Amino acid sequence: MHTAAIRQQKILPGDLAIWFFICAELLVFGVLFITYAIVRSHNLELFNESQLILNKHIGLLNTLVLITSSYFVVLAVNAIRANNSRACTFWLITSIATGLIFVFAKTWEFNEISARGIHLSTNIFYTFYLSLTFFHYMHVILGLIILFAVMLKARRGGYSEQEHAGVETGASYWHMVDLIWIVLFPLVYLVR
Amino acid sequence: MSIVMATRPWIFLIVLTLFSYGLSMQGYSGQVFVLILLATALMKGQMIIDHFMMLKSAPLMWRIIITMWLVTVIIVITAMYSAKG
Repeated sequence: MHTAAIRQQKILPGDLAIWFFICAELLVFGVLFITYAIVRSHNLELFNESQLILNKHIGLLNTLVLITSSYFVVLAVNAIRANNSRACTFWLITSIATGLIFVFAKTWEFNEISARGIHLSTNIFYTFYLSLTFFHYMHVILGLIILFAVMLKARRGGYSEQEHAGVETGASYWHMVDLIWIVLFPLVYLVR
Repeated sequence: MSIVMATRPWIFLIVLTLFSYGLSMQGYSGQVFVLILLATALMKGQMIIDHFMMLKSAPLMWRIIITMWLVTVIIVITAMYSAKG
């Protein structure tokens, strides 16, 4: 009865501090997304024309990869809640591996765009595109570093069914990175 | 959350992503297209908030805060695109 009551309690996953950090990050990206939409409304033809050069296939691949990586992190959290450190470590490794696919694909895309002679000052669309996606790319890299540190601790048996706030905190940050991309992908690549 | 409970939203997210991409590859543009794509992004975002971030089982205030961010951003973007889209 007591255990059932505890399970029914509404509990925020991970440390409280990460949720304030997530709110701050979302606020920054939110302002950037809205600014993009406002500037686009004043430069409609330029944005629609410039958007055609973007590689939608890579955008799709990166979306599928981030969603799947997030899913693996959910499985890692489930595993540690069931006191299974080995499974938690396994799912964290798979989430890092899929996250690295994003990094490689995005790096290739940046190189491809650079090879076309496109840079931040080419036009206002590319200023936004490169700034927004590079800012997000840096968050992906930070997220991977966090997941790697969590994975190392999980591998040493540093988390348990009772104490696994570190896994949930890293997971929450990684899902935020996914959430931001879910808005960024259609905004920059698809909607016209 | 069981594996089945976690897998269902993941499958929905994959399907919705492929739907948006497929629609875009057909070369559609205009207000209806914008509305469909942004509504799809809204559904995907809500799934991540509720099932991946696990805010459905968190204190309501946090679910509301993050959902409000998503809804506000999508509504403002939709309004800006509808104005001249």
